[in-house]
Amino acid sequence: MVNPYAVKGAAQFWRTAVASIPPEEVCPIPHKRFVINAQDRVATAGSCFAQHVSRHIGTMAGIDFLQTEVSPADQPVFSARYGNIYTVAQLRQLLLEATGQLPVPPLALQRSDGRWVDAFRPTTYTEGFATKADVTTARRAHLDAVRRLFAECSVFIFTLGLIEGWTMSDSKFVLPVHPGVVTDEDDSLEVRFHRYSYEETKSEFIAFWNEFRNINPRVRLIITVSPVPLTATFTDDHVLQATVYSKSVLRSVCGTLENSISDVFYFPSYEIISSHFNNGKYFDSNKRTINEPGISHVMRVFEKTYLISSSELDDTSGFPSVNKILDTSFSERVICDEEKYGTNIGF
Amino acid sequence: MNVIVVSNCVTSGYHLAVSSLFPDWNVKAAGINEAERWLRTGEKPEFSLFLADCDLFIGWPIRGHIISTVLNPSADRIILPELYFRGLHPDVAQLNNFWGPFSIDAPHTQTSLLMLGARSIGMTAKQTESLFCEAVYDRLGFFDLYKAERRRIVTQFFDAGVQLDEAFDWWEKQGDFFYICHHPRSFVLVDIIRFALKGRYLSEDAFANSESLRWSQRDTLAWTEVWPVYPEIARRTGFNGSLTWLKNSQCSPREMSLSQVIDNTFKNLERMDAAWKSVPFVAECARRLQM
Repeated sequence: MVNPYAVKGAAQFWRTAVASIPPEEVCPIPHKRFVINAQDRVATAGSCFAQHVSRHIGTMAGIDFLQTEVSPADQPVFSARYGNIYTVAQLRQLLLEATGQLPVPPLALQRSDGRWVDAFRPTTYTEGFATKADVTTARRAHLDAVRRLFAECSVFIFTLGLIEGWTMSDSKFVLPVHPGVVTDEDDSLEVRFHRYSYEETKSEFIAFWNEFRNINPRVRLIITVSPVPLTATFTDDHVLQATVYSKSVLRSVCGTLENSISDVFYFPSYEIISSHFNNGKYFDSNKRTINEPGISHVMRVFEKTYLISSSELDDTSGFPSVNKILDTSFSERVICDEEKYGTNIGF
Repeated sequence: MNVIVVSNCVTSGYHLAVSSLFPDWNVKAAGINEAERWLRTGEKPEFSLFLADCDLFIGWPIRGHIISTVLNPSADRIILPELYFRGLHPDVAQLNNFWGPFSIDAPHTQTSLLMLGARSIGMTAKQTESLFCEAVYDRLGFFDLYKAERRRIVTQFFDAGVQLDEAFDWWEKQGDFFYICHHPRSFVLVDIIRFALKGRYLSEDAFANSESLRWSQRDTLAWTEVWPVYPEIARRTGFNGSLTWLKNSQCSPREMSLSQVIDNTFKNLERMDAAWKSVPFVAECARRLQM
């Protein structure tokens, strides 16, 4: 009987793809998925790991990094000033707000220094606002920038970070952090903890994607899972167990989405940083935050997967050159002999 | 309501769908090349008269064609871009004047990229047969093509005002929804017409009720040539493929095996000027096979 694995390539075997090459050369995507070219406008969002991705994307040659709101130097670089977006539910909520399908929620929190902050991005304006009204005004301008961002980008990179989150007690709004992290004075907000299941995360994402495509049918989405472990869990599980569970749910959802939705592509940041082949060398001494060599490895693989190299300059189509050349031969002419197919009816 | 449908080999499928959805309409159809020829030569004056008087045009992008100058300027236009999908058949290549595996008594330009690439570097029929495997498809980018092709079609139709995302999701669940790159199964054509007319001529209720037409409409292209979806490619979209080619249904036997198609292709290449080896996609394929 023929061994069915005999037809598989080097990337499908652990020995050739991982064990026998230096850890820093492991590339868990065997070939290009599509090419981000000079015409593309790339936007980013997500959890704290996304900040690293954004910082590199923003400086990469050949990438038009779309920013509809520019962050000051002391703030994380994202395409707009939404701060960290940890859950898929939060991302969907932002899109609904930006497209006017959800009213702007009046959620301003007062800090202990008397300044007011936006509960949905409490650390984005370090100086805070003088009044509640100022928070609302700034949020309206922000949502306008977010709407333009969603409508104008052609590639959106989203890093999924958490499944644990906080919602208002009526479940209407999702918060990035518990209000108590920001203020210890305001007890008026009743919030509750929620851990999103696989099904909830998936359905939130599909709902987000459908809304996104309604305003931007050309967009391609690159999804990745943050390898940064949880700082803390609100469940009664051990934080390590809660971390592995959370990341497993997110990774599974990503796999399902990539396999079922066209124009959604998974990028393996999580595998590059967290897999044991590199003996944990990409984590700082706290075993949680990611060091620069780790980020560099991720971005090298990203460049190899999505950017064009000088040897590939003839291929800007988004798929390999044989396909591009063939595609030209298809699109330039009508190939069928129409008369054979009974096309003239009534004449 | 006078309606004209103009397209290529899918014209009769579009015509059937429109006629079924609106039995009271007076729907006529013509192939784009034939239609242009009629207008250029004046051979079919009744076609010009119908165009000048029709209320609705459905089909080919006609900007720059003679049709656009004759068509009633107040006729509503529903433009349907040229439909071809290479995602299930990434190995299909077109070589001018080539007598491909489907040729009967005239050249048939569609052939196998892999067979041409292999022959250009001197591989035997047996060696070429072994190239039909996952690792080689991967090296040539065959697996990447599906999503890119879906995206191209959805975007092109979206630009023409037709949303096909939802329809595409359903087509994919039906398995091999194209017989060959330009020849979809009839439900694809039915859906394109349904989604193109939705909200304009088809109410929400009528749209929902028309779903059954997906299966009831005669499949006008079923009798034509069928290029197999190779098993490794088919598996990625959830069905079993094959390596059996089907000729036009008038041929007997209709089936051709992989080895027969390779033999046939190699034999026909001997009739060609050696310049075929320098056709860009053949040269590029050869280069990748040698990597």
